[in-house]
Amino acid sequence: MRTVSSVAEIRPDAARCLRFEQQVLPHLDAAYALARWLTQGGADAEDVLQEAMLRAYRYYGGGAHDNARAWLLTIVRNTFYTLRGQEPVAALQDTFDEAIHGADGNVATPESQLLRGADAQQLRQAIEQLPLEFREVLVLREFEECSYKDIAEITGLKMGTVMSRLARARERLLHLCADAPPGQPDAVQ
Amino acid sequence: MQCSEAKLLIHAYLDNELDAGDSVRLLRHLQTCAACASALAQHTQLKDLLHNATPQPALPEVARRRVLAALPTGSSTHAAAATSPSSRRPMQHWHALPIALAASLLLLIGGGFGVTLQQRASDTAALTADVLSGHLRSLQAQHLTDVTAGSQHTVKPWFDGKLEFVPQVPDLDAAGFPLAGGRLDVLHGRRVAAIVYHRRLHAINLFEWPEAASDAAPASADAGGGYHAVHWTQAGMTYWAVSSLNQAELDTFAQAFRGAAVPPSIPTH
Repeated sequence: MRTVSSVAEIRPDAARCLRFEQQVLPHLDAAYALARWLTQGGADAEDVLQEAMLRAYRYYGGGAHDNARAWLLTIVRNTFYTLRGQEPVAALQDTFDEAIHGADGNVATPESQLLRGADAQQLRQAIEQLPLEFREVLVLREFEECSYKDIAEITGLKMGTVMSRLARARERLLHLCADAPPGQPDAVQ
Repeated sequence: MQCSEAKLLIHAYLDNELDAGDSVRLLRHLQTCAACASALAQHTQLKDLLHNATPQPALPEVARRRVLAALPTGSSTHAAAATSPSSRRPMQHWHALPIALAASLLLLIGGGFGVTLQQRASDTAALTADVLSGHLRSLQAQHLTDVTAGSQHTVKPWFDGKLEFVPQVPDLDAAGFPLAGGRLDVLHGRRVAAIVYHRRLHAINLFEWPEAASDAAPASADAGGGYHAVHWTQAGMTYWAVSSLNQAELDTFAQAFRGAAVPPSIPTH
């Protein structure tokens, strides 16, 4: 896939530049955060971001965007998969039943001990270990604070699938944290 | 409601995505089902940890400049960033918000240049618009900070000689608001300090300047468009915090800041 190496060929219409700056650029940090989580903290994140922002500029229509952030995050996500030469995993649509059977019962650890051992480092690693299809919905919900509707728009999943995938992502995190060796007791308030 | 359904719906419930009818059904189920109630508690705890204990990736300055330089929009405002802060004229961003512009013009016409910020502060709506405009300006042009925080000990001294007052730069790490840095800014021709804190992915701009008759408790102000503000006065200083962060947490920020602000030193004689 040809990357957008420069946008020099697009006439820098001043009004369009301005609107892009006002509507899209404020979400640059959110875009980077998503790129980082998708690339599991690797150096690729900056490349993904760079390419995504160039595409965003290229595709930007200049009209009013009611949800510029979700629009930008969609571009970041798609850019990530494209640069990897992969199809986004939206094709895997969970069914309601699969979600129920997939989710294990409660971890049999008293809740007070369950997460007490997990510190920030362990949590971050646990998130990075999640399979991509779970990691992306979790990150969009918990860190990007997207609604289910926005997550559905960004990932192309149905809202029911968003919910079930999120449930499974969280269950997996609970398991990963429960299995991790206990950290400092004071690490978690 | 069966446990199989409940176990799924607790997630929607935690994310405020469950309608009233389903919420009632769920809560009724939880009253009689210890296992599901326990699941809710665990996931509540997990969400809490994710919000409060997981640091968010921060875009390195070098990468930020590179990205902006590659965009046509980056070049014009970026050239301005390369110059010293004192030469940066915020009025070049006259295109900011129509509301802010209208408010500014109105005050200039009605008030004249001699009007102090305090007098305008009584016109809260106008000041809210100014503060929001300053916040958006700092985000758009990526001029969030002129000095980045190694600790508060790098930010506070940076202001020496740049302002006629010493700004408060409290350490709010313990309250969950890490310090990002600071910069000079201008609100209505008056030089102010802007201290930038973070909460998750939200930037909080805290503007402060000396001008207040008496102490006033924090008051919230909805800045519109999903932005919120809170303002207060303390020990001769006026403070305005603005962010896309929700009002409740922004109010918490205000309380934390007030609590941590160092009282002005009493002159000895």
